[in-house]
Amino acid sequence: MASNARVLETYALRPEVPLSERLRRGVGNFIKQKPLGAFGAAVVLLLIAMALVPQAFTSLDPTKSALLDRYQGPSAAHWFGTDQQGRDLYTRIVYGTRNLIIIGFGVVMISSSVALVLGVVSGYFGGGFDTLIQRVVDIGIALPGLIFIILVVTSLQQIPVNLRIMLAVGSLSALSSSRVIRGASISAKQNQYVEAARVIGASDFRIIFRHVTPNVFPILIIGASIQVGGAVLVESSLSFLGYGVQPPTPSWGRMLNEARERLVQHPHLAIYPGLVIFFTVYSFNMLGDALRDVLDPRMRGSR
Amino acid sequence: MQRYILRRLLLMIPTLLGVSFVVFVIVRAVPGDVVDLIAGDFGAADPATKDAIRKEFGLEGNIISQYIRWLGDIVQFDLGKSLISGRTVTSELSNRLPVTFQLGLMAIFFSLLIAVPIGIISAIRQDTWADFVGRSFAIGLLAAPGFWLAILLISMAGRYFTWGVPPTTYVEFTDNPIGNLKLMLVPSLILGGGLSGSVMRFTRSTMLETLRQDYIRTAWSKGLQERVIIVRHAMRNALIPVVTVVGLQLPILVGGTVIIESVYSIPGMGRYYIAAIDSKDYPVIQGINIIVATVVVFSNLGVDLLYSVIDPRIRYS
Amino acid sequence: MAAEYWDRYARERRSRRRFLGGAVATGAGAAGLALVGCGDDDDDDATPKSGLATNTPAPNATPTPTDPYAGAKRGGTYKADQAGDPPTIDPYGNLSFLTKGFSAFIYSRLFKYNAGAGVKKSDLLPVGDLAESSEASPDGLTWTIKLRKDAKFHNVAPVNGRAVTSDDVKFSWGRATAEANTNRSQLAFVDKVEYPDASTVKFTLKAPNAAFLDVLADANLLWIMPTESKGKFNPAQQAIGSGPWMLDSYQPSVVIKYKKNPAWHVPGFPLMDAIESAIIPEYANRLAQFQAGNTDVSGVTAEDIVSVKKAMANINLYGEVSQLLSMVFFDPDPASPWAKDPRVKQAVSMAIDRAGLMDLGYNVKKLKAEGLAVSERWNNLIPAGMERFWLDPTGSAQGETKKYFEYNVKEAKALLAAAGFANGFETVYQYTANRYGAAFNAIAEAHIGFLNEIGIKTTTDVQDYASKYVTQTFVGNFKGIAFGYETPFPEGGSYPNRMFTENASNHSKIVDAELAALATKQQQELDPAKRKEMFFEIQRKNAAKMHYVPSNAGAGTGWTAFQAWVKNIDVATVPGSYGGGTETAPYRWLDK
Repeated sequence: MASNARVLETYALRPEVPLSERLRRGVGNFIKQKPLGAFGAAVVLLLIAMALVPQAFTSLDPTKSALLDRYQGPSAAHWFGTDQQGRDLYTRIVYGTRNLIIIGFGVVMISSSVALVLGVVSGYFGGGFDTLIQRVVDIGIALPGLIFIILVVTSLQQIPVNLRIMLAVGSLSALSSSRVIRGASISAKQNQYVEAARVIGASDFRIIFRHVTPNVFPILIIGASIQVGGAVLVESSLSFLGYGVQPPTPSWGRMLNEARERLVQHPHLAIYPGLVIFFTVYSFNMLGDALRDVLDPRMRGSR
Repeated sequence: MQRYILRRLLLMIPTLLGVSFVVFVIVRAVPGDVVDLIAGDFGAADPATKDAIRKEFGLEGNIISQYIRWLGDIVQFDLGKSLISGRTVTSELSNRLPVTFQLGLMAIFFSLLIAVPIGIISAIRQDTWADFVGRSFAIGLLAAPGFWLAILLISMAGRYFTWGVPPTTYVEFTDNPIGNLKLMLVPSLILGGGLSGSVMRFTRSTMLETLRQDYIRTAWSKGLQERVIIVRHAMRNALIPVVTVVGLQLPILVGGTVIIESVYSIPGMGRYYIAAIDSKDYPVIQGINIIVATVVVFSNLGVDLLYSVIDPRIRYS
Repeated sequence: MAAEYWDRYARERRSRRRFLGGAVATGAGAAGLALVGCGDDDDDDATPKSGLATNTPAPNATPTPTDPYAGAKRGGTYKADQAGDPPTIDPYGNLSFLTKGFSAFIYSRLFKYNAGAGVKKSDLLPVGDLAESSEASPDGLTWTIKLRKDAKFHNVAPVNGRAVTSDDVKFSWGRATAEANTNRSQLAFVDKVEYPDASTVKFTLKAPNAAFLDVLADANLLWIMPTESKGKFNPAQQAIGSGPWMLDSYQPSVVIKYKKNPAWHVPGFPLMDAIESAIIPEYANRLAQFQAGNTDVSGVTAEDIVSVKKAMANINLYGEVSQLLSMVFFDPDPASPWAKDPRVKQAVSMAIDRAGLMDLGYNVKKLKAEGLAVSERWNNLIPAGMERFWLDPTGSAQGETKKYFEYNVKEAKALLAAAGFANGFETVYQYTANRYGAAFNAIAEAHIGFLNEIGIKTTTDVQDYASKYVTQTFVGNFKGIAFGYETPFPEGGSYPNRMFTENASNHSKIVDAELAALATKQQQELDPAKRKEMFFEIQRKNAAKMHYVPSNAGAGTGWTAFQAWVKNIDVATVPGSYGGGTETAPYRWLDK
């Protein structure tokens, strides 16, 4: 749609306008054209802030129990009420953000880097590499996801549980992303300047670095935001089932699990953690969609 | 075409071998011997008891020899016996697989019902209110954790509107279709809602892509009505990737139904799988894996073949 | 001396029978059929049992001459629920309480508990199930048990309703003591078993055992299976026993259906025709089913019980104290702070707010305010529910060691300081969170705060039950402080035996000559009064050193709710014994 092209050209492609001005106008346009995405971005920034400096958002201790204050409903002193040990629910949610963000971004890091390597090698070099890697990818896709993740999380107990989750989710996600990267690498390989570079005698590595990878990056970025959303849901499900980070560290999914038998009497225990998960996943997804609309070359064009 | 199918069938074998071996190893790498679990409080410290248990359940020998023994059984369609219940894995699965299958089908159906119209409308009316509302709705369904909705619904129903409480026990569709659907309706709606987000996204983006094609522009310039353009020209192509997405949902379903099955007391495979993992019931875990992997691999082939039917430009050699 | 003891016991039994008036020799009643665990196995703190109706205290033990079954309607199907499948339906196939609970419907033991209307928990004793009589030799080493002649197996092929004989007992004993059966160590005190004729079994023990009949009545140990279960049918797929119920059908993960055994050796019972136990893993769903009237009985948490009762005026509630001991235990390393000075353990005990835990786990304050009969007893080394041997840690009989049960942070810190740890110390605090349910987890977490409060800085290590906790921590292979449940033994003697004598499961590897001697002595003491005094002495001596610090998870009242039409809900069997299928279910009836 024309508006997408306008967004892009407004904030990226006019070198004569100073950077600060470009950024300001770009962001302004982004908010105007993609309000949902902007909302998502705002929430994501808020969550990152909560993860980095929880102390700025709450002064209470998330793990200190006060049995006398159990099960209080939302009030001025406790915005979201207290849980079964008397701990402030809002504080636990804030501190729980850290876990989630770490896992979310960790998953994206692992997934993107592995997918990039696998996809590019498979697509660019083809042949034996391709066949072998694609078989491994087939295996990864055929494994029932949540189950594989649970198996990995319940073994490998020497490494911290967050790392286990990142590895499991990240590797599965990498395998399916690598397919897409492979497709993009194959079409990039067919590009004319790749051929030209070869003729000059450029090494494979240089070609990959200069020509193939940059074409593939937008796909990674677009996928990243949505992957974080997915990782948050997976982590919540794992914690809900009891496999995630253990008490007394706060975890949103675990809070839902603990609320299960208490929620008729104390619905706030289930409502707030659930709502936060909802808004987090929603925001990452909306941001990802907006980024895709703006960055994906296929989405632009005339209309 | 036939060579293609044959090649794909042959390629399935290493894939299935790979999947089964990976799971075989991981399951045994989980710390905590199943033997310790079976031995429990009293036997955990008694080596004689543990050896006897090991022998009774065929758990002796190293991993490779156990795997080869298992492969030998699989080839004869013998999935072994559950270490915990003593019943055959085949009988356990034949009860549960159709249930999860039904749940999955209904979920996919609902996800398409919700996602495809929203995706199409969102694409046609990109960046308008219809787009925002529609997308918010679909992504919202994805973002709300299914298990959260489920426990809230059931608890509130029990307390405030008991007509909303699901039936106590599961009945098979063939025995009592109404009773069966009464139980399966809400959980499959919740699951379908969760899936609809990605289907919607896919539909929308393919639709957007299709709408930019030159032949659509030609149709516009010819003066055709919008409706005709959409239905006759754009939709067919846009639906192709939907088939992909549905194909991709299948493995998710086995894992993804776990919590819903547990909350609604649906005797499906997801719930059984988790129980098997917790009790380290190796034959069951391996059996479910190989069956699910086979289903996935075959359905991928089916999806690919379906492409060639829908889009005559796609040809396999 | 032994003969005297058993004569007196037999006499008491006969007189009780006369009072009860009916043809029924043993107890009747309605057991909380809701074998509700929090979805986990064995040591579950939310297993509700049947019990008393609402706001009245327990009926006292004076038996009335009226027949408690006068006016009972026969027939009907009882709709119950349970949290999970029995892992296997073979009684010897798995240790899970779900398998044991299932077995109690279908199979019989040699002895069972005399649960009945008006029988006090503290008076529950083993009476014959398949056994007609039992006689001990004067030295207590030989027991001769005669089987009833009228006991028959279910009329299902290939067993076809034949009589139970000593061959079946021999076969079952073989399974109970097989190498792969992990419970066989509990039967190791039996030297040999002989079968002189088709209805006699003779046990020879290595040493006299005051609890021998309890062992035979233990729902964990000896189920009598027909010899045909080896070879003629598969007990993992088909259940044929001699119990009050027959297996009508079992749809895995859906429902277990029992139908009454018309030829049960207790004539006239069961009163109901059938039981359907729906398998519902989610507590919220179980509660919703009960509230919708789809089930007749369900376990309810202490948090929900008040609002459930208010919303449904016509239901009846039963509260029962489980026999479950939670304890803080310490690693056996001689270099640890508590090994150097026992005051450290005493300090830990005084840091625990036991009254607060009762409230946290059992909602005591609110329930009391509503007029519900809720137990406020605290666990001692013998859990509060085991009335036969429990010593009230707040009572005068506890003596001066009573002070270690009091919640006194200042005094605890003082003790620590006197032991040389004025600034506390650092250690690991561990427990398992994926086994015992939400209430246990909450209490386990609360202890973190208690320890921190007196200066013990803890790193929390929440362990996986199967791979770490039960294989290492539980058997004493750990560092730091641990918290967990003891296995719920139906018979008190097992507690001191495990905790103080030399055996693989001694959690803290306690070596205390006095306590070890007492443990062995009580097992052989046949006089109940003397035995009780020994138990009191054991509890006092433990409190003096706090080898194991009792805590209150498992000490309070678990609740079961019944729809108004379920009658005889107040008969209860030994908590934690899982024998309800035989001891209480047959005596319930439905007023519809």
